[in-house]
Amino acid sequence: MQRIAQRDEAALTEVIDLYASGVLAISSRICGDPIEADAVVSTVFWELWAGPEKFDQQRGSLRTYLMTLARSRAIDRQRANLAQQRNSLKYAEEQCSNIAAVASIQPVDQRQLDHEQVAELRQAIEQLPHSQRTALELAFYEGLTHRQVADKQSLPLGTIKTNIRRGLIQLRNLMLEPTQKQRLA
Amino acid sequence: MNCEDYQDQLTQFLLGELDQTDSIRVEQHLANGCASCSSEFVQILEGVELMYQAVPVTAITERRRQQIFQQALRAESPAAQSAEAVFSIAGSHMALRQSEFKRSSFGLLSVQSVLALATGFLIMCGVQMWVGRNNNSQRSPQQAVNSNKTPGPSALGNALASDAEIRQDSRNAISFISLSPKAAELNVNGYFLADLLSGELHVVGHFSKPPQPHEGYTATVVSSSTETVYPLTIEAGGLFKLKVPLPVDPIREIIVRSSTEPSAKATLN
Repeated sequence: MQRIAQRDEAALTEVIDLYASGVLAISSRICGDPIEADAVVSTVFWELWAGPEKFDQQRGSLRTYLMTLARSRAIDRQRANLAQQRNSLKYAEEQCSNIAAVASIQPVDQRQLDHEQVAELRQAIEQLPHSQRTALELAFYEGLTHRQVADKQSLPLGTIKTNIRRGLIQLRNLMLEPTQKQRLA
Repeated sequence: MNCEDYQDQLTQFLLGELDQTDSIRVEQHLANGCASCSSEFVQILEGVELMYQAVPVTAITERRRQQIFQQALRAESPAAQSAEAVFSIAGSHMALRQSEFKRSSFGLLSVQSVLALATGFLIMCGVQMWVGRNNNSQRSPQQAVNSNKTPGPSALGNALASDAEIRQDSRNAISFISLSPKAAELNVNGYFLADLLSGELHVVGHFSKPPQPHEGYTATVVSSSTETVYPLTIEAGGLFKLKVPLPVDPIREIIVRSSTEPSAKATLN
């Protein structure tokens, strides 16, 4: 990040090489539309280059920063598009989105965890209580805010906050506690 | 606010969902060195990182990486860099910003047209399936063949059905492919997507008259050298979806059959 702050373009290339796939993945999941997702990816790296000082190491890795930024920008786009989407041919749109989303998410490269570890991680997510897992998936993979998750599940916001928080901690414990291995980037 | 209140907001804080006032409040509380909240924060952060690690990453081409790089270096945000794309659907002509493509007035079912797109690594082609339900259709498969083949961006682009149009946007990154409605005897339509990267073929179709529930349906994917039959599950309302390996050779036909007779066929070449 220091190199990016110093306007080192080679460093930006390295960051794109490392994280663009992950950023595209989360954007695709939330947007459900490859064109929208593409726009989010461009925005994320543009923002990184334009304002590297916004990255705060205390708030997690660069990967998490970029993924969270992608989630936020994808949500922004979803909100901005909402009015237009209401006027669209919803059925056709859903079909196109579904097939595009399915096709655009391909597990071809795992840079941080190896294949086995990712499988283990997904298994750990599956092991979470249903209420926690659902809330986490809606928040992280569907791009819903806590409030939106609460509305969707017809549950109080406080319950959703608790489910997401406990789910994250339990997932962390399932993955990190038994072996204390350093699995994160 | 007590620690429990702060801990309640930590996830939203991390995800940027708090307003500025609350966000600053949480940040200050953590900066003040509250051990309990800091510990909770680290655990939640690790959980967040794990959630992101579990997302299957999406393949991204070298060309696209270059585009991201070039866009990042520009002074204005990518939102202001969008190009115009023009394409034709079912006879109507529209000019749309490429990011608005999804909300355009095409309809898979309502206008009986098919739209597909290709983005970098993703190649998508559309076909309209037509029906010779009783083997006495007035149209032959050959009539669905494109006599004026439109050069396409993919291996399948030279094998599109009639009326296909391809326009590339100014970045040369996106192709729109559309097919005009065909004859009135259609009762199945749909589209396919050939994902050349993952080697998968996706087919989505729809029976305008939902088939008999007892009938077993199959889809046959015919390429130059292979012919593979797959069972179809017809969903409520007559929808069906199929995801199968992409043949090595260009696809020539996708045929939907009932248990008793051919019911729909898309001829591509």
